[in-house]
Amino acid sequence: MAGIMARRILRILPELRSTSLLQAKNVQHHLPLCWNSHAVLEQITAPRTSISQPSLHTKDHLGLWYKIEPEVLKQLYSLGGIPRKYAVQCTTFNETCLMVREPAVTVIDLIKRSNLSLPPNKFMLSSKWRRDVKEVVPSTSVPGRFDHPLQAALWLQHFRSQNSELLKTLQLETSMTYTWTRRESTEAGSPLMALVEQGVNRARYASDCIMALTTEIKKYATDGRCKVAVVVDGINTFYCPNSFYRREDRTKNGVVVGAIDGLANDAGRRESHLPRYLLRRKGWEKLDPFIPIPVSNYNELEMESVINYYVDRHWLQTVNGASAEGRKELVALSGYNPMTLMQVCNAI
Amino acid sequence: MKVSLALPSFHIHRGQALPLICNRFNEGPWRQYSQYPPTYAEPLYRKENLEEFSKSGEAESLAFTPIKAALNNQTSSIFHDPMVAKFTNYVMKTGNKALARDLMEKTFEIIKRTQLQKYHQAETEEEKALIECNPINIIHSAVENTRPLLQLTPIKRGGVKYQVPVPITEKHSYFVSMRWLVESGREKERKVHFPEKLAKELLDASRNEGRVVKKKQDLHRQCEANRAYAHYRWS
Repeated sequence: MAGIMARRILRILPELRSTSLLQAKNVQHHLPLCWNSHAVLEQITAPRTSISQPSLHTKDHLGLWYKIEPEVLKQLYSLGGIPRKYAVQCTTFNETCLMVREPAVTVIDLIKRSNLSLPPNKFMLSSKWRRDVKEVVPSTSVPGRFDHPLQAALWLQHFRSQNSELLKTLQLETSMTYTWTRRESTEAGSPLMALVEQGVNRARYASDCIMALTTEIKKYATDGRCKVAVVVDGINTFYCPNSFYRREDRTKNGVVVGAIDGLANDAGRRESHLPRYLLRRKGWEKLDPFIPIPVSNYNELEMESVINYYVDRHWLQTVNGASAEGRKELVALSGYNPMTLMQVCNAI
Repeated sequence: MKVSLALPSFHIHRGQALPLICNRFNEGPWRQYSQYPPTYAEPLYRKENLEEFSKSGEAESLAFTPIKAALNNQTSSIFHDPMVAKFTNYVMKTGNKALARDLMEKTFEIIKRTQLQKYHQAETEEEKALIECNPINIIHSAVENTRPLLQLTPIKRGGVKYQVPVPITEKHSYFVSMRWLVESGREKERKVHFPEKLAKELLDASRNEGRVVKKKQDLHRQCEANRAYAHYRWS
């Protein structure tokens, strides 16, 4: 469309080479109307890999698409976790697929090789890419602290759905008695799930439940009974001047994966996407030493792969939209940026 | 002033990019306000037209003809469609083209999502083959389906105004059809967004049903009822 061209700056127009990923074959059968290549007698299919377990991906799988099975999806992301826009895209595509990309492979590889008896490694993913607080209530346990009970309860629900199977097998128990009110308390020796249930049912104490839960889990991890991965999207939000971040102890058997997100900052602090700027001095010093992993824009191979995937899912509908010329235009319109490419392809 | 020039009579179609001297005068006096003299040719901005032109030898006749500058929204992009560009202009209010373009893009997105949902729900291959998912094709068929053949013009005879059915030009019929579609998109409840409603109307019209098609049929019926006045057009 003329509009897209008019609005976005022509950034790069490199020569695109056809890569091995472009699987073209002649087909004899009748193509459905929905298929965008009336004119082209070749069928473009998405480059996929049958290995749907991210831990098994290697550098050979870069640029290939893997499917997240519905049951895994339900267990991990039933209460959010996938960005809303991509979730909408997945319902339209009738499947949830992700592309194997370099940063993920690097992080998984490093986690596999890290020594868990040492203090946790921290991996910070940063790219050019705030959650609204629902309710603020003065804390019941610590005077002067403020809680976000509704979000805490949501977090606990999320934790329950993601880790319920794991907690059943691990048989972890609370080490001390937590007293919420005169009548309500969680006895020492009750399963950790009781803490979670308490938080979910009584949103007022959800924040304190999280506090108790994290303390317990950290203790068990240090004892070597379980492994912990802390995954945070928008970790820099902890270091905004208006937020309260509690001091984290040195824990063994852990790993921290954070995504540094420009949108997690205050609205006035979004000029740069670089980690030092987004984390501020305080966050930088707190997280140091960490392993920075930049998430870059697509390279040419990934670009081919994404466009093939869009054609495969009938999302790119323009006649000849996936021809060599169309691909060049899409590169120019999106500047290899994943988000921009998704937006550009919405209307065409 | 009536202009009558002894010009060689070309056989000319509307919209053809040629130095259309005689055609200019047919279109009425307002054309004389154009910033270009009538000798200027329309620009060619599509690559495929350019190739045709050079092959058929018509390019040579244009070699020494001055050509108008291309409009702002005319690009050689694969994703450009002249009718969509026109439609965007009809959606636009007070010159806010950026918003109009956004609305059109959202409309297309909704059309694609609705049709793809149907596509994935369809069970057999034949059913799937019948579902059109390309928003450009859908808007084209919607506009074609809602183009009127006749229009009513008030003509005063003996102190009474009669609604006289007269034939409509091709260009005006496209305008009327697009205007109806945009109007029906705007007739909605406050909570519904314009792109949602427009997408629904376009999908309905492309299947030859819905409010806009009914509007066209009503107009045809009115013209049929007023056929007795048709002679007022010339007498």
